[in-house]
This record gives sequence, C-alpha cells and structure tokens, in this order.
Amino acid sequence: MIDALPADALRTRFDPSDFGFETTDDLPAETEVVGQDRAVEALDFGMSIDAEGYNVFALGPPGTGRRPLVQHLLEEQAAGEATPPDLCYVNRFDDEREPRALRLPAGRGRELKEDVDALIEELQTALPGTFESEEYRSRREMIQEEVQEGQEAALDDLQARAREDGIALIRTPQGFVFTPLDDGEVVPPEEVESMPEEEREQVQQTIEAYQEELQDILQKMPEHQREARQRIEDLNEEMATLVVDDLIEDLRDAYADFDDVVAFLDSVRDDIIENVDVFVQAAQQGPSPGQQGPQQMMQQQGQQDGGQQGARAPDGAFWRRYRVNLLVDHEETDGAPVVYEDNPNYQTLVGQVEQIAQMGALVTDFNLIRPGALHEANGGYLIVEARQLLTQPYAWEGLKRALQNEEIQIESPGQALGLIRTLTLEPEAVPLDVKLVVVGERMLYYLLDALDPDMDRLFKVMADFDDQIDRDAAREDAYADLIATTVDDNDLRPFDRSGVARVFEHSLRLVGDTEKLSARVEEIRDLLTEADHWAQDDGADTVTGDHVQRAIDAQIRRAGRLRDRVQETIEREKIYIDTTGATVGQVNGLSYLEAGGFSFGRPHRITARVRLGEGEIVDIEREAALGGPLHSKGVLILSGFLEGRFAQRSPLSLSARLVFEQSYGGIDGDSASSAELYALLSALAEVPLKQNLAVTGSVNQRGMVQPIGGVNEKVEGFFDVCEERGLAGDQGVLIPAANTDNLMLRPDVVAAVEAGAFHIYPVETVDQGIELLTGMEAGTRDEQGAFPDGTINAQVEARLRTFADRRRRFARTDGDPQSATEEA
Amino acid sequence: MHDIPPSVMPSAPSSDRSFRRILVALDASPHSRAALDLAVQLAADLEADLEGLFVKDENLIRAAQLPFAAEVRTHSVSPKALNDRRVQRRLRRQADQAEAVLQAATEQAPVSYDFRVVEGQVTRQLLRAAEEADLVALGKTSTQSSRRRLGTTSEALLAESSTPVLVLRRAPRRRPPPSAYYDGSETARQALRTAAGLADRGVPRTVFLPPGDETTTEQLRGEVHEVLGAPPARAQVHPLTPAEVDRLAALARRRGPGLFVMPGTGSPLVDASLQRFLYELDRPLLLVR
Repeated sequence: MIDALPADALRTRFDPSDFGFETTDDLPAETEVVGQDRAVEALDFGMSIDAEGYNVFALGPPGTGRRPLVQHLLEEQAAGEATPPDLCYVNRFDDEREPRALRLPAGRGRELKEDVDALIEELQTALPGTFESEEYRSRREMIQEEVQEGQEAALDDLQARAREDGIALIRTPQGFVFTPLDDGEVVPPEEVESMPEEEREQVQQTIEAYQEELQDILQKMPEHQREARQRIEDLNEEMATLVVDDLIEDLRDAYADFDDVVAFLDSVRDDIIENVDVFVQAAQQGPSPGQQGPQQMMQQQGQQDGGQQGARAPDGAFWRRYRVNLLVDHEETDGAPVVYEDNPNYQTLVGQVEQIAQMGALVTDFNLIRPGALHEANGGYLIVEARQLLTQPYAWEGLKRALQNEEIQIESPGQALGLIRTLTLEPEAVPLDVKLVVVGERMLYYLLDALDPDMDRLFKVMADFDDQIDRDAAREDAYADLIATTVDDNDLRPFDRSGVARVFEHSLRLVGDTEKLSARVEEIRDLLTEADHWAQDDGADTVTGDHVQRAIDAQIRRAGRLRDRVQETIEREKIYIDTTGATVGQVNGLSYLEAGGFSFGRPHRITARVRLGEGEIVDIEREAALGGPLHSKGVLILSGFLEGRFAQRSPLSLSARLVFEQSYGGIDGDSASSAELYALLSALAEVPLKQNLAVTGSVNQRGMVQPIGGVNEKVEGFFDVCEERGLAGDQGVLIPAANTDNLMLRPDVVAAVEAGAFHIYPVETVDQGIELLTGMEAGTRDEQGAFPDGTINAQVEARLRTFADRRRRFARTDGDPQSATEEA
Repeated sequence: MHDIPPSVMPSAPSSDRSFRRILVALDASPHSRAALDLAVQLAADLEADLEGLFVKDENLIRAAQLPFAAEVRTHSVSPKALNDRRVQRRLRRQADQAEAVLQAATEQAPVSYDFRVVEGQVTRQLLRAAEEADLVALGKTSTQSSRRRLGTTSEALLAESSTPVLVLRRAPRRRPPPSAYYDGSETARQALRTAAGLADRGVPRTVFLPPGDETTTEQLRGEVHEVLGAPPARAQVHPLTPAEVDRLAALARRRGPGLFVMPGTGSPLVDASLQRFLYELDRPLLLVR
C-alpha cells in the first residue's frame, strides 16, 4: 500500500527571508514584463523590420497585460525615431471637390495655419481698404470721366460744326434733334414752311447728313462703355494684385522650400484676384464686413466667382476657402507617434468628412475633414484591440484596405460600398506608412488566420503571449520587481516580504502549477490592490502576507455563493455523500465546476451495479444525454481496460451500469474514469470501498492513472465536506501521482495533513488505488495466469467467470431451470 | 448767464439784401435735383420762399413741329420721326414730375413754395425769372454728363445774371460751413455778407484773401472782421500766396464740403475759365454780382 504525501509536498512555500529586500520600496520597480520571451522577441522583430506586411498580432489570454506592454515597448522604440510630417488640407480652387493635402515638417503645419489666418486677417482690411481708398475712387472715376468726356467732346464738336452750317443740335428727352438755325435762333416752323423748295431740300439734306454722323457717334457709345469697363476691371485687378502680392510675398519666402505650399499660396493669390469683384462691389456699397456665426458659415460656399449676391460683403464664409485645415499636428510629438485607438470604428480609423445641416441640406467643405487614428499614427505605430475592431462594421475592411493600398483615402463607408451617390468631398489620399499592432484573443487570431486570406499578407508577425512564466531565480527576481512596479504605478502601499511571498504563492495557485508563475498580471494587480485596501482598513503602512490572505479570502467569499450552496446541500444531506464507512460499488468521485471566473471542486457519488449480460458497460450519463464526449470516451477506455485484463479467456459476460448519482446537469471530462473503474471493480468483487476517501484521476487501457486538471480544487472540495462534519482522521484523496507538482493546497488543508488528520495519496496505477480503497491486495497473475486468492483481482475474475458460466448454461438450456441443475 | 460787454458780443451779420425769394431751375437731371435739395435747405434756414421753375424748351417744340423732324437716339438704328404732340406730352409729363419732386422735397422742411411752367428759350427765361429772385440755384448741367462739363444754361447765368447764382453738382449732406473769397471790392463785401448769412453763427470756415503786401492784407483782414463782426479767433483768414492763386479752387475744395462764395468780378475767375474753376472746386459755387 502506497504512502500518503508529506505535508510539504502539498504546497510550495516562499520563505519571506529568501527575498533580498525588506519591502517593495527597496526594489527599483522598473520591470514592465516578466518572461513572455517569445512574445517580446516577436514584438521587437515586428517593430524593427521595415518590410511590407510585417504588422503584428499580439495574441494571448486576456489579463496578461498585452496592450500596456505593447504600448510601452512601442513607445520606447518610437522615442528614437523621426517625427513624421504634419498634415494639412487646403482648398483646390479649380476643383473644390478634391481638397489638396499638404505635408510639412513637424510643427510647421501649425505655423502655416497661423500664417494663413494672419494673412486673411490682413486681407480682410487691406482689400476693402484699397477699394474704398481715395486713390482707387479717383482712378476709377477718371476712367469713367474720360469716356464721358470723349463722348461729350464728339458731340460738342458736332454741335459746333452744325452751328456753322446753320443747324442747331437740340436735346430731346430721349436723344437729339436737328433744326435749322438763323442768326443763332431756331427757325420757327412757319418760316421753314415758307422756305423755297430748294432751300428746304438743302436744309433737309444737311440735317440728314448730320443725323448720320450723330448716329455714328452714338453707336460708338456701347463700345466706349465696354472699353471703360475693361479698363476698370484691369484697374481692379491691378489694385488687388498689389495688395495681395505684397502680403503674400513674405509667406512665399517663408515657405520657399516647399513647392506645394508655394503652389497653394499662388492659387490663393490667383483666386482672390479672380474674385476681386466681391470686394469692389462691397466697397461701392458701404463699410467693411463683419463675421458671421457658424450656422451661416456655409452660405457662400459654392460661389466660385463670388459677388453674385451683389452688395453682400465677403464675410467669414467667404474667407473659409483660403484657410488651412491642420489635420495632424506633430509640434508636440517626440519621436514617432504611438497611437492607441480604443474605439476603432471605421470613422475613427480612416477619418471622415463632417457635414453641417443647413436649411434642409447637408453641406461641407475641406475645413470639415477630420483625421482618423491612421492619420495620427502615420509614420509611427497604431495599436487596436481585435475584438473591438471586428465588432465595428467595415472597420476591419477599411483598415486592411488602407494597409494594402498604402494610403489613407477618406470616404464614408457608404461611399466605399458604392451605396451613396450624392456628391461629396474626395480629399486627396495621403500615403500611409504605419506599423499596426493588433491585440486580441487567441481564438480570434486563429479564426482570422483560417478564414481571412489577407491575414498572411498583412500580419506576418504573431506575438504569442503565454499565461504562464517558467520559474527560475532570475525570473523570480524580475517577478518581485514587477510586483514593485505595479505597486508603484498604482500608488499602493509598499508590500513587505511576507506580502510578496504570499503573492508569489497565489500566483502559483492561479496557474495550478508549482513550476510556473502566473502571467495574468491583471489578476495579480487586482490582488495587490485589494490587499492594499485591507492594509488601509487596518491602518497599516505596509501590506503584509496577512493582508494578502485576507484579500484572497475575501475574493473567495465574494464569489463563493454557489460553492457554499453546494456544500450546504451536501451538509443537509439533500445530496448524499458518505465520508465514513465502506460500501460496495460506491465511491466518492470528484468534479470541478467553474462559474463566473471562480472554480471549486465537490465530491460526487459514483455507483456501479453489475449483472449478467453480454459485456456492455452502460454509462447512464451518456444514455441520458447528460454526458459529454470526453466522459463517454473515459468510460469506453475503462471498459477496454477491463476487457484487457479479464476477458482474455472468457467473454465479458457482465452488464454494468455506471452513474453519477444525483447529477442533473451535464458531466464532461474523463477525470473520474478511475473512480468509475474502482466502483465497478468493487461491484464485481463484491468488496466494499472506503467512503472516507475520494478519488480523482483518469485511467488508460493499461490501468495507468493519468493526470487531471483542477486537482487543488477537487482536494479542497472533499476536505471541506469532511471538515464540516469534523475530520475523522482517516479521510483523504487519491490523486494521480503525475499531479503532485500541481499541488498548491490551502494552508488549512496542509495544516490538517501535517496534523495527520487528512491524507493525499499519489496513485500511479489502478491496482494501487484499489488497494487503498479496499484495504486488500490487488494481486498479480502467477505463472499459471491466475490471481492469488484473497486479492481483489481474483475476486473480480471469479465473479466474471461465474457470470460467464451462467450465461453459457442459460444459452444452452434455453432458460430451463431443470436442465440447468443437471449441468451444474 | 453773465453779462457780456456789447463790444465783445458777436453782432448779427448785417446784410443789405436778405434772401427772401429763392429761384430753383427744375429739369429731370440729377444736378437739378441736387440744386433743389440745397435750395430747400437754404430756404428753410433763411426763412425764404421757394420758386420752382420748369422751362419748356421752345427750341425743342419748334424742332418737333418741323415736317422732317427726326429724333436720333442712343439705342436705335435710325432716327425716329419726332411728333409734335408726343413732344408736348413728354414735356408736360416732365413738368408734372418736376412739380412732384419739388413737393416731395419741401415736405420735410417748413418751406413755402410755388411752381411755374413757362415755355421759351431756357436761358432767357431763367435770366428773366432770376431778376425777380434774391438767389437762383441750378444744376451744373441739365443732363447726365462728365464732371468737367458746364452746361450752357449754367454758364450763361453765371456770366450774365445780376442775381447771386448758386451752381452745383452734388448737394452736401449736412450743413457744412461755407468758405469765401474777399478782395475788398463792394461785390466781395456783398459776397462775404452772404457767406456770413449762410453760415452757422454767422462765421464762414475760411476767408481767402488775395496776395499782397502786409499792409493790404492787414487791412483786408480788418475789413473781414468788421463785416463778420466776430472776434478775431473764430474766422480763419487765409491770405493767398501768388502761387496759391491758381490753385484757389483746389484749396477751397480741401477746406471742406461747404459751398464757396465769391464775387463775380475782379476775382481769380477773370483769368481762369469758369468751367475749370468749377471742375477743380467740385463744390457748390455761389457767385455774387
């Protein structure tokens, strides 16, 4: 019979005095990550490689601190890199639908915007001023006067000549009329009548000749007017040019190195001069313009050749067309940008063009272009969470498209899908150079990898985060410092050695493995925060192991309603669990439940009944569709073992039924298959099994006991039931020997073991287990192949032979009892 | 209010002829309208009566009566036959409009007016009517024309009328103080008194004096103050330098938008052309003879 495990094998202890510090204050607190070598190397590789498509997918379980780590590493890398240029959008005057993008070195974008604003401010007074000036007025007047005077001179000349010829030129309300003159006086009509025919004819002809001449003069008038207008236009252009050139000159010099900025400034100049009429008309009407409110901002949009409204002075809406929309401003950025977009929908990633509702229509202009995360991260790094990204419509598609085309095209999802046909802005696309890191769950990565062909092209680097960290001295030191860093970052009280030790122990428990530390740094952080709270409650300045334990206990208490309810039902004997005595065909199995992130174990009565049959072992759970496939597999395996050991020479003539008594929810997993086997063997051998022991472990076809999961919870589950009833001293649990290094049992369990009141047995084979449970030897076959008398196996085999004989006889005699006795 | 010795107190300007009757020539032109506005202003200030006169141009009527009368218009291809009746009608309409304008203009001010229509030679009729009035106001030209142009009617009145003639292109918006030119002659004295009569508180803005030696200038200055009766500080007296004489009009223009009063005789106008003077002055001119 094998021995129970010693108490010190049940829980790995961290001795506070082993730590090289008193409290976490003594530690440098510089560690951001422990272990995760594979992932960190992948990230470093991904960040430094320049080739296309080497974006990173950081996958792993939640709570391992991936995103903060990624951000930290990226920021470190980015600090030494060049800052990308600023991005501005400006109007394209010959096609306002396609605003132009300008890129300027970091900080100069703001400069340009401010300079242009200042320019506009100056123009707002200078231009109207010019056209209200005395100089302009007089020059304009002079042009008009010249034309007028020219006409008058011609008329005067004509009048003078006519007078010499004895003809008067008289004004009528709508023109002129010629009459004969005599001695400076107009000849009265009677006198004209009485003129001799010849003379009258002569007069008439002369008059007609003069009429023709006058007609010619008058017909030239429109032409002269046109000339005057043209000269005035030229004058306007000249005045405007002077003003604008003067003001823009400085700006052109300042940005002489940037061809596209200079081109923009030139186009502004040209547009102002083209629209000079606006200012001229306004000046003719009255005083200078004021500013309008945002609602009216758009009213003058679309007036390419301004001044159509006539008298209205150019207001805020008019000047908008010349402004600079500073989309990305890197004045304050050090190194390359690292952007974490925590709301990655299509618009926040790619940017958008906003619109203003105005009198029932939606209007927009380049000033309403808004940047997306891609713009801000361009030239640097962008971090998004996979789940958030994938739950937003078209966000994933939009992101992929931008990456593949290596440019950011701002359009609405409707436009991208070709659904929207209304005309809207199509801002010039901006070249994209960004490294993307997506942080997501493993399942998402594998799904995308399997189903999205773009993954291979765009995410060539996977940074696989583990939830465990291998233990070694260096890593443990780092882990302690990680704790110190977390304490620091979250402004917690310093932890003393005992506190840190306790955290270490809990970390092992979280993983359920004494050789690993938990990489779920967020859970650790929560524990630290809660322990700090209890320290505060105590009025203590440092957090000790007791505070940590209190935090753990409180967590369990908060989450343990279900567990307590289960224990209660066992206590009140609504669910039957024996913890003393022995019964045939009945054993305490152990199951493991997880609900709401809290897991616990509980004992489960498993029973087996056998009868004569044809060798089927019925799993009632499976029959009732309450058993999962793994459970069914476990039962089939133990059947295989049974057949292998006992059905070599005679057929297995039993029919057995196995059941998890009082189980009304589903059961899965094969961790109870050894318990089921013991129950079966007990039923066959008709030897009772001890009820003071619980069993866990799966079994293979050769009768080896295999390791299972949740061993700590299962042991504690049984312990709690026994303790509640009062430990009898002989109680314990059979666990697979291979699970020994997973043991991190509660201190009180360990204490009980130390006191000899509870026992944990590491079982390797079914035979070892059955011996513990029955107190009888298991037995091995001798040279004749028989089991020794008085062993379990012998009794099992005997029973099976009995079944086999009966069955044979039954078959031969057709069930007739008379013939049956004759044969015996 | 404390007593001010009579010698110091500004005395009312003495004027032989206060304006009781103002004649304004009406036609359809914008200058005529300006003249009317200023005439109404003056009539209101001086409590004078206003007479509006519309002259139906006899020449035009005669011309229309000719059998071959044809009107040449700006926007028609060939001359249109002129109909006597149509012309009469048009003239009647113009007269009615002139009366309506006169009525509207006087509505705002407490001015009594009457309106007359006569037929005849425009210049002759106006000269005749002017003899009955104390002041005649008319527009610089009777049609839309250049700034430079001076209509024949205005020119004739300025040269021949013995009544003070007020010629203008635009009426000043408010009541800016007038300026004057004083050369010591009787007409100039008259002119100065007229200017004082039209000025607020009886003091013109500037009084220009002809160039001369110190003694003459001082004497003239004294005469100015005597006529104005104002303490020396108030009226600004500007003796012209020989160079400035040619630029009198421009100088006067720069002094302000008020009207310019000057004698018609013995003044810089003798040498310079009236047309050019008016062009450079570009302000209402009141010529006193």
